[in-house]
Amino acid sequence: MLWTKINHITRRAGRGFLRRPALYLVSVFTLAAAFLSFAATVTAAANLDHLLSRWLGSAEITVYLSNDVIQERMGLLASAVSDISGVAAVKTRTGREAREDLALGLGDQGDMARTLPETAFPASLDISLTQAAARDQKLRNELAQRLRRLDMVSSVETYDDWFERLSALTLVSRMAAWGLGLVALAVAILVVAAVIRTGVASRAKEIEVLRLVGATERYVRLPFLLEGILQGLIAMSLALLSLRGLTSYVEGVTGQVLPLLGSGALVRLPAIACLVLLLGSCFAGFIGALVSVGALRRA
Amino acid sequence: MNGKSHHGQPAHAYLPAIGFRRVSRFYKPEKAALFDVSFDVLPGEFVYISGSSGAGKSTALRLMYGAEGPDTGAVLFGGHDLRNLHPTAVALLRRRLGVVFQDYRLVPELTAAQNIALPLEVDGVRHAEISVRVEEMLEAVGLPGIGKELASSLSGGEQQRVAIARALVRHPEILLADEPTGNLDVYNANFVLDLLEEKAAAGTTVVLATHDRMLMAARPHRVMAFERGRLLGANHSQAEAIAAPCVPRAG
Repeated sequence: MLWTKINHITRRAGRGFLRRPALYLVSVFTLAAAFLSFAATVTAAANLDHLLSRWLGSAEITVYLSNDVIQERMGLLASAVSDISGVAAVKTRTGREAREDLALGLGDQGDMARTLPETAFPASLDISLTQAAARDQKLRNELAQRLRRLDMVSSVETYDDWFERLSALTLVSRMAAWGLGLVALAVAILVVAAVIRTGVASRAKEIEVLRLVGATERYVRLPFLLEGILQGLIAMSLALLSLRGLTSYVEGVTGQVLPLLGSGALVRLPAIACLVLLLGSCFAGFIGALVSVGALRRA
Repeated sequence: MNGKSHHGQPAHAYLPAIGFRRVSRFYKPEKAALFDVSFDVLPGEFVYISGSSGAGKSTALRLMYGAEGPDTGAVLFGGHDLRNLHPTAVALLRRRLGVVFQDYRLVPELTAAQNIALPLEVDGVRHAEISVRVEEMLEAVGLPGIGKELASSLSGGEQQRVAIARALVRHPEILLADEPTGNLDVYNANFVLDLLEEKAAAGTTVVLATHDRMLMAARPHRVMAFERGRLLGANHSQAEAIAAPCVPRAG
């Protein structure tokens, strides 16, 4: 009995779709565009967050040495630095190694880097910090100050500027994601409400007849609510599929740059986030439909 | 109780299919669509509600199926006072009756079969059974094979028969018909009336609102005559109807 009623209600909702397919298509694609903007911004924020975490997790201080420092003294310096508190590891890098690293990073264009003179790449110490030190800006600055005082040190790069920029960008992207989320929610509610309202108006006769033959208000309204939920669900499904394609495309375009930035691959929305978005879109569709069938009740 | 109910009407041993107790309905303060109307319709009865345009026939019918409520008085449906019922309970009571309108009230975008199936869908009947019962009803109203045609593409007579099929498909206890033959030719009108009388003979209570005296004369049943919102006579049985001087019994 229940299944039969669900079947009838689903069929009535389907009739609503079939009666005005163009309107529903416009509605679904409008919602999909809004949802895609939102989901893409969430993905961008997640990627920036991921990048920031990786940078913080593998925080380094690069100590550029004077050109006249010989390899033996580099070894001694590295050994001394590795004993300092907060330092996890120290790696020496000669000018030639630095040039080769760049060439490898550039891939097909690497040969161009190999034509440059070795002296264009100063020798350096790449100092990896412990997790605690990496997240302690004061400690990093103190360490950098100590290193700058050494004769053989030309300059010290702590990458603080980059961290600050990336942190700010991450914050902005998170705020944009929240803002777009609210906009997408409002758009979804308004669009679904408008479509359902026209549906209610165009099916006024059917609603009147249903009431005459003993349909309860719930029976009259459920198909419209289902239509709203389906609009949200289909639109979000389209948005997530588009996002998947978009992410793959961006990954293809930025494939060579990402390793240089310290990020292996783009972060995709996890399944649980997709599920939450799908449920959220159903909720938005439901609320939009509820607004319109509320008017139906008052009528 | 001195033989009277609390509504001031005679207490009866039977439970009326439909009962009006001092019902008034005002659309304008100074003009009553119905005024102080009381009557009973017994189970299985075939009753005419007669009167000219604006006499109150349609208002009486709308009150019977709960489309609107009385301003004063009570409308009883199977012993239930509609005023005391939750809208859901009113909806469930409507499933016990069928309603036929002069303007058919079909959903033009649906096929004939889909229109007839609506009450069964509301009842939660399975699709396989719906198909069988709809086909049976189409045959009963003399329209086999038109199930897939859109209601809007049918002639007036066909639409009225489909509307009757929709009203009868769930075998209602009560059938309310508002001028069901008003837009029909003689052949279709007789077909519809034969069908309604057949259902009444099978135990369905039929209330037919009409202003057509010829019809009432040709097919005699109890008549409740309305004029300017007032019932000219309230009869509780066929015998009383015949005896009542102010209510002409046709035929």
